[in-house]
Amino acid sequence: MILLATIVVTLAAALHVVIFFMESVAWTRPTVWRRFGVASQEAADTTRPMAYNQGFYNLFLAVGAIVGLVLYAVGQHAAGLALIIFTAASMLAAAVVLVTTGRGYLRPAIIQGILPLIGLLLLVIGLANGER
Amino acid sequence: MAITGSPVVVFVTAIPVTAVLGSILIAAAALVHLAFFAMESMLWSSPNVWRRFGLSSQRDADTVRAMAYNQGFYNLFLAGGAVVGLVLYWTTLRQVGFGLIFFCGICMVLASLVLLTTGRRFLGAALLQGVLPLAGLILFVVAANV
Repeated sequence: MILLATIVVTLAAALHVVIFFMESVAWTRPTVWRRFGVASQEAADTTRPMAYNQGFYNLFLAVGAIVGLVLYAVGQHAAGLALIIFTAASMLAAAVVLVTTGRGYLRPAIIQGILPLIGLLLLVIGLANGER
Repeated sequence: MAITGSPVVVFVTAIPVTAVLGSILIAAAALVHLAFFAMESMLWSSPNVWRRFGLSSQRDADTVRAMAYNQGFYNLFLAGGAVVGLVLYWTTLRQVGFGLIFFCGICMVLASLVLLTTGRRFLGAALLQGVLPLAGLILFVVAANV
């Protein structure tokens, strides 16, 4: 279970690197900002500085999850688990916040939240079964 | 006097001053991030608030509103993580607490650097966001190596 959880959390981290890329690097492309519910080029330009910033928050969560997985793999179980749980829970909570932002955000919220949710569940099940 | 050998004195001197000062600074950094959350996610409709984030018109503020609402919560998560880290550090799991404090503190410092690359007008905001966690982390690292 925990092995499966590490794979799913790795995928969640990879997705958040993609979100970073879209928000902070590729924001000028209309195909990108349309995915974030932005309606016009003008609105995209206004939103750009904040999108640039928020992308990095997603990158930090991804890096934190990977660092947690590495710490866990090299035997620092407690510290690794704490980082994995904190970053995955933050990703999941961010997805929940996205749902409350308004209609039309349900799909991106599911995309952002489903992997960390499954990863956390697998982790909890594995730990409850005494896996290390 | 035998008082220096008493358990109370031993306990008091075993707490590194740097860790205490570091904790105060990290707690203050968490408070600053809690304030960011309040401004971005709860008080965004006030012009006094969105002007601080470099926006110049009500129309622009409305456009950015959804993303500001979201980003505020990322700041809340960092504040929450830092506080949980502090609690763990001073109660049961010192290593785990240090890990969480370090991660959240580094994220705050890096976020302030990202803010600085957005434009010079954000220098004040970046200093407000980054100086407290940076100083706190330095003190914690010193405490860990004493």
